[in-house]
Amino acid sequence: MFTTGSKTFLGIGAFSLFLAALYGWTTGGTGLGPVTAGYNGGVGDHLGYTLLVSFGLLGIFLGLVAVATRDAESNALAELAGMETAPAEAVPAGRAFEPAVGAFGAGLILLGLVVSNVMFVVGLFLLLAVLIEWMVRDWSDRATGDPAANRMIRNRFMAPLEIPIVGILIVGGAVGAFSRLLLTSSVLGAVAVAMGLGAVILLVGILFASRPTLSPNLIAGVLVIMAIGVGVAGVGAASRGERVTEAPNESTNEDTGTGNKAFIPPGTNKSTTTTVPEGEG
Amino acid sequence: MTVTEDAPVSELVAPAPSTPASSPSGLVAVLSSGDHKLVGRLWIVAALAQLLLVLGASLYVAAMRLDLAGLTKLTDSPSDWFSQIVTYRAIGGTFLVLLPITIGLATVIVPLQVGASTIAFPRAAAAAVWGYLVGSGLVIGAYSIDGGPFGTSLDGVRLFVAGLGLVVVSELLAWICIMTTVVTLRAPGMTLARTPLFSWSVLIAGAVWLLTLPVLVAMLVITYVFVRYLGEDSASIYARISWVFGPPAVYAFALPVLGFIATVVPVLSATRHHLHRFARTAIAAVGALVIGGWALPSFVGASTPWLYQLPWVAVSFLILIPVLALVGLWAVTLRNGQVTLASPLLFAASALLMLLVGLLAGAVQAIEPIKTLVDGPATSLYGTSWTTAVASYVLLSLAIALLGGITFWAPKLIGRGLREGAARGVAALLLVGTVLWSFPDLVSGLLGQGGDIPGPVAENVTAIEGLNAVSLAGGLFLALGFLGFLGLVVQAIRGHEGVGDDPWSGHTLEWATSSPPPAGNFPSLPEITSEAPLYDARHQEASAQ
Repeated sequence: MFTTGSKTFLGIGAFSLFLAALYGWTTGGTGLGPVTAGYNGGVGDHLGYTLLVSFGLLGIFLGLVAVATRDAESNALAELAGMETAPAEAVPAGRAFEPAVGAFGAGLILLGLVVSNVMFVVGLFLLLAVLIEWMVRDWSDRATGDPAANRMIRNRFMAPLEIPIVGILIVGGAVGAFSRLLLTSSVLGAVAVAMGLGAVILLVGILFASRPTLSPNLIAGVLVIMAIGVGVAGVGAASRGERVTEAPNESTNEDTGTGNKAFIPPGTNKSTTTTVPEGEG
Repeated sequence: MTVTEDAPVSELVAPAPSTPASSPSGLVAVLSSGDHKLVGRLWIVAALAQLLLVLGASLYVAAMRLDLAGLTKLTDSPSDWFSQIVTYRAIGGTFLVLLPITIGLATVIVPLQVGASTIAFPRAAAAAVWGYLVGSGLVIGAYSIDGGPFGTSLDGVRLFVAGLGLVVVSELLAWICIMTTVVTLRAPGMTLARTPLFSWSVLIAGAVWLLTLPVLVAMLVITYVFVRYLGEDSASIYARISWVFGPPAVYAFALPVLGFIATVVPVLSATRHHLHRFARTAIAAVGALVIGGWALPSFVGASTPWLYQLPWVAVSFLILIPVLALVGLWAVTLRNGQVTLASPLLFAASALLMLLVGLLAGAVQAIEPIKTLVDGPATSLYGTSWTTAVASYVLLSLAIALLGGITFWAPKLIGRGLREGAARGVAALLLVGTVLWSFPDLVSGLLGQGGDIPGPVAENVTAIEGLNAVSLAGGLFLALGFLGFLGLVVQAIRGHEGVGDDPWSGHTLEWATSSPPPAGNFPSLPEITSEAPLYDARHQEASAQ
């Protein structure tokens, strides 16, 4: 009846309770207090007594769990379940990015605690997304005995959500990063950046189109590097802020005849500068 | 219109079993795998990389101690980066290097030893390693911007506390996966009593950490709140967490050392472990004794009753009993068998020797009448560099055992063996290095040198500086040993020759599969009727012939 694990835990539990009683009596416990949890007398030092009793009860609880589960021995469990042989183990988990992304999310949350609220919120959303993905993947992994069918079930459930969200994030991120890059450059620089990036995209597209035998991994790698490059450049540009722009003066407006005329009181400096606060551009 | 045709019957057809998706490779495999072998290797590689940083920090601190008077300038400066490096040495050495290598080795080996096809909660195990990587990045980043204990950058200090919290939580998660594997995924026939002693020691160590590390996490949460909202000084952080590196809590690091030695000794003696059941009990007893953060003198104020100190003294002495019993068992096992003096046995012997010295020194410092040898008011040895030396002995014994473990299980870890002669050299270097590094600190502790954060001393300055020079020489030996070991591993990985599935004629199940093991680990398992199934099978074959 008493398995190895149960004997260990029950032994620890009993020893802790014995120590608790001893401790209680040697720290001022009176009468039967230390063995009756204070019902018939004092227990002595409360903190140490409580810790030792908690430890003892925990050991006894774990010992009883070990008895009930037969130390989780596979043969005993099979017998308990009325099966002839021990049940097969779960298959090793397949490919899943959730753990790595989740850890990254946790890192963002901690970094956000220190650096910025935006980072904290992004990390929180990332962790929430990982939680949902993880739960669905674990559910689908056990749907049937066939991994391919399980993948299909998972994709049928999640793809209608994932594809639009990921699409919005990619397009929104790219547009956002491009806009930051263009807004931080000088007027002429922005034109150069737009033309340069457009040319790079065109050249990469031509390269991919002219070499249909290129490895998909290579293509994916190049695209990922480009995306990371644009993202990093966007973040860098955002942290640098937008360029300082010259406010158009009266004569310019009159010359072009477009836009609203800015009212500048006579006698004041006509050349003023305006800046857009960071994050509101 | 009448519908005469039957409506089409929709059937729920179970999909035919299909071939699994092609196995990912490269970065995708690393990022997405829940295979315990890959996850364990990630732990080990990342921790070995961090070892280089910790090694640099340790040598720097050792070099600075050559000029004790000069330390005043360093520790009194507004940005006390010397103390920061001292704390990085301790925190990095334990939480970023030694525990992660232990976890990595256990993650790879424990499922194999218990005959499981996977680790329990494989994705949680993967999340643990990624959490560790991100958390350790935050810790190092925090130190680099003048954060960490004794740092002056408020953001850096907060980042350090948060990053260390993530590291510790990740390590807890990893321990839960490993422990659950031992408890629930053992192969049919492998009762808990037949569990291999390394897996058993890891189970006990995991239980100890599971009870100890949440306290540390709570301390870190409190520290974060105090630092952020109450403007607490960053110097208090180290005082809050350094109990983990001090005796008796530090003895928890020794549990896998015992498991490694108990695995290697019978294999390299080609005989059964003498009184396996008793060895299991002794390891469990060590575990029970080291759950003793509450027995630390640093938790005790001067006005506390004498009984508070009784657990501290009792643990310091009682812990020697099961360890000495194990030494006796191993001596008998060696005597009963035919000993092969291979490198893992040298690592095991070195680790055991250093652990014993550490435990003995730990017991000595618990004897209240033994005081420092200074002319002024003598103090207890606890808190001097004697205490640091006790921790050094225990932690370095773990380092030696872990490197021995990597050498022993290299065929399962990387599919190849390390060069035997060079590995023996590394074991010798580490033994000499540990003795030279730690023993002078025992003596200088007697002479009054301070412990955790070395500082100037009032007496015996020349003698202590001389001892510190010997300690630095030991550090150089250790550095040479560690770097040599890294070189051996790299050489083995780049080599092409396999080493065979069972080069040591092992006793336990990890040697029943190929090197490196395939996905799912075992095509088939031998019958398990004892704690040494492969030893049984080998002897049954021999007797049949």
